[in-house]
Amino acid sequence: MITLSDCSCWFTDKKKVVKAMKHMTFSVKEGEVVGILGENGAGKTTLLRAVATLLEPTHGSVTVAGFDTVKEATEVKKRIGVLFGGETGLYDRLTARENLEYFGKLYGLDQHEIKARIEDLAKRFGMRQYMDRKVKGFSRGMKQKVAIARTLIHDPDIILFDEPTTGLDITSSNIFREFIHQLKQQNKTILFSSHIMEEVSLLCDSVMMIHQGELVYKGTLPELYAQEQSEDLNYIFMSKLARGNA
Amino acid sequence: MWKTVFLKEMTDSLRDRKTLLLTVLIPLLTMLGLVFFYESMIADPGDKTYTVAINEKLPSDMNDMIKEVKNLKLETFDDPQQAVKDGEANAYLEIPKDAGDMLQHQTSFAIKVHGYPTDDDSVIAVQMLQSLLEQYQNQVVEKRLAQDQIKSSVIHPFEVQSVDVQEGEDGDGENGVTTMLLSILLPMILVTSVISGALPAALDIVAGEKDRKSIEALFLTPASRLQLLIGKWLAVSMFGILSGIVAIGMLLLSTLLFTEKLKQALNFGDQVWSIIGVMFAALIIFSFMVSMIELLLSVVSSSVKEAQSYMSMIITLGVIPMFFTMRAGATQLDTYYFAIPFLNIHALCKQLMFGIVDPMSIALTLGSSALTVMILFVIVRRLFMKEKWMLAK
Repeated sequence: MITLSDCSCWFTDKKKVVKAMKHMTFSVKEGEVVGILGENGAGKTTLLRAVATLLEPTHGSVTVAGFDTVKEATEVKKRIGVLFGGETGLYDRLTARENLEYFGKLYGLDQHEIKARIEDLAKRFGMRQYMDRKVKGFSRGMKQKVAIARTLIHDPDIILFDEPTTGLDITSSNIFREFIHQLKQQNKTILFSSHIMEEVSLLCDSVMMIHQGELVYKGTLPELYAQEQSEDLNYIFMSKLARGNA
Repeated sequence: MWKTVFLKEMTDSLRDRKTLLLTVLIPLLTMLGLVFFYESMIADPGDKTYTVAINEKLPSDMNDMIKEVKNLKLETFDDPQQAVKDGEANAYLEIPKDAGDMLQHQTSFAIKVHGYPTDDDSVIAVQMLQSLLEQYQNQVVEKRLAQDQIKSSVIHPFEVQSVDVQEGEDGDGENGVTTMLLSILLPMILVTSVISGALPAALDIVAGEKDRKSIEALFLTPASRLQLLIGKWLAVSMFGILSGIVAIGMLLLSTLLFTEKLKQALNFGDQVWSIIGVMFAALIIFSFMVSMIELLLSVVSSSVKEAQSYMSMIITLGVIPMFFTMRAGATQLDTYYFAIPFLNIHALCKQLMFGIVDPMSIALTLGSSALTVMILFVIVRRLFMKEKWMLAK
């Protein structure tokens, strides 16, 4: 579903070349839930942005559902849903319904499809009572739910999340985890970055560890536990980083 | 797709109080204030009475002459200069004690008129007194010449009269002054209202989206960036056009309803519809251009705050040309006035206010503005396609 071939992303910041992603090669299968782990600045967001067509690789290529993210970006966009953490990126002066309708139209859905999708998502996330209220007065959790619904408005097969539970309270985080479970049952392919090891070990089939722009591990969780002779993901992550630094 | 973007941006912006305030309310209030201010500038002194302080008795014929003017009232003060300073009088007419005798014996003397140059009422009172004293002086001279049996043409060989070409020989030139005032006021209002009306939408639509990070979600949809840009640009332009219509409409309405003098300048006869049509076309193309400039600044800014600091210069850019067109007569505007963006809208409005509908000026103004819009569109589109400019740093 997602394939990176010798992919690198470099930037120039204040005349200095920053190698945010270095020669990454891996693939994610259909229906797989992959957690991306890494310190701040390790290159997690860069990786997700490259897959999401927002960044053009300096070297190598990224394909999503068989489409190249640079040459066939529109086809890729039709098949992915992306939610970047921190900000929900909603329009405060529009209602939750209007936000979803707008994105439904931008994804090329017809009026009937949009209505049906909004009803389904509102029911699934328990948003019915505030669908016609302006987003401005929403709590963080409510906004996060609307943002997730927006990500899924076109029913994408591949979903990318960048630290989706950052800043969320326990209830909202649990809602999100429950939602990932639902998507998993629908055989969606999910790639998400997180700092929370418990979340990754609970939700993911596979894990990727990134350190200073390099992929230091990619494999299933049982394989990783067997290889490291431990089921403490936090410990494994720290020791991988220590080996990476060495 | 651009229609979806346009409708969303219109809905979103119309729900923003700041946008409504700058697009509708501010132009409405500014218009009313400016119309009343200009009307008062050109209004007659009317029934207003100006007090002239004196401390000596005036020669009787001078006294009678001043008394005949209904706007001037003579009042004796112990300290007339202080009375002017205290605001009790508008001017002080200082005249020698034995002025009457000196006049009779043909001895020259000085008359001083004291006033405050920074006080409008005082300036008017001083001007009226100076004019009256000049008339009085002429009367005295003529009387003396008559006594010596000399014709007055000996010292007044000719009389200078100014004639307003537009008004004709019978005109008093007042209509020309009001037209001139409106020809300055109207383009200034049009330009500032379009710039300020489109501003909040332009800030919110791109720089605001970067701040909120909603631009990323937008760029992740399959909608083409060209369509997104067109939708946004048209929405910003619409606010400029709306603001311009509100401002010009309010200017015309308040002038027709609440003024006497300014109203006279709005008599365009048979040309009224062609003038309105041209002005509307100019408003639309000018709004498209201003919106593109504002979008360009919004695109190159990484936040609303940064964009705001750039936007202030557009107002300056819009108002400065007024000082160039002010100095030139409506019939003396050179071709280049209509070829330079911003300057052309001022020049065209000036011509229209004087009832001149010149196809060449109109074509040049609209053409040069359209060309500027096209160039700006190409630049903004290129920047809009680049993540470096469009995605939050």
